[in-house]
Amino acid sequence: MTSSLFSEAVKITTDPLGQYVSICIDTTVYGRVAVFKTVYWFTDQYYVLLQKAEPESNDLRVELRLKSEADSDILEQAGGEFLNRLLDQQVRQDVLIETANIRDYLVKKAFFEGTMHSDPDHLLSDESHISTADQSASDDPLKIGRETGAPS
Amino acid sequence: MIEVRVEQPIERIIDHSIYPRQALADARQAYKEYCIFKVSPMSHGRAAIQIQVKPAQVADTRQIVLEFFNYALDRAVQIQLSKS
Repeated sequence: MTSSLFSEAVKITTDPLGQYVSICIDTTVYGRVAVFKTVYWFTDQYYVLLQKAEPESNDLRVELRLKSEADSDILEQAGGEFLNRLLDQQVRQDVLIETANIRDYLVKKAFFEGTMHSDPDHLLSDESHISTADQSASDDPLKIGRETGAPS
Repeated sequence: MIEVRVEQPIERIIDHSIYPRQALADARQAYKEYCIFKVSPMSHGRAAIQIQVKPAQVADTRQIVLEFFNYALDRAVQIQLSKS
C-alpha cells in the first residue's frame, strides 16, 4: 500500500469521546466475514465501532479508539495494524473457500473409514498364532527360542 | 484512563445489517444498570441509539459507552458468523 492510499483509508479524528482513527473499508476488496473476524480480534485491545460508510453504500467504516490515553501516533499505527490483519484475514477466507472441496472430501473420507472400523469383524484382531490350551511355550512351533547366528 | 464527563446523551447511528437487533438487546441488558437507552428506528435499516450514563457513573462516561459498543459488536460478530 502506498502512503497516499494509506492516508486515504486511515484518518485521525476527534469527537466528544476523544480521538480515534477512522478506517474506510472497500467491501469489493474485503468481504464482510473478514471484516467481522478482524474487528472481533481488535475489541480485545481497542474500542471498536463498525458502521456503514454511507447509508446506501456497502462500504464500511471502522472506528478504533485506545482504551488508555489517546495518542495520534499509536492510533495511526493501530490503523495500519488493522489493515494488515484485515488483509491477512481476507487471504485466509479466500484459501478457506478455495480448499473447501478438498477439506470436505478429507472429512468425509475420515468419517467413512470410521464407519468401516465400527464393524466388529474389522475390529477383531488376528489371534490365530496365540497358543491354545493343549500347547506349551516349550513346544515352540515357530522356533522362537532358536539361537540366532548359530549354525543350524 | 481518560475521564470524559458528558451530561448530554451520546447518539450513534447503527445499521442493523451490522448490529442485529439481538446484539443490541443483549448489550442493553448487560449495561442497563449504568445507562439509559433510547432507540429510534430510521430508514435503510438503521437506528439512532441515544445513551445517557446514569449520574452515579457519569465520570466514566467514555469507558461505559465504548464498552457498551464493544459488547454489542462482539455479540454482533458472534451472531453474524454463526449465520455464515
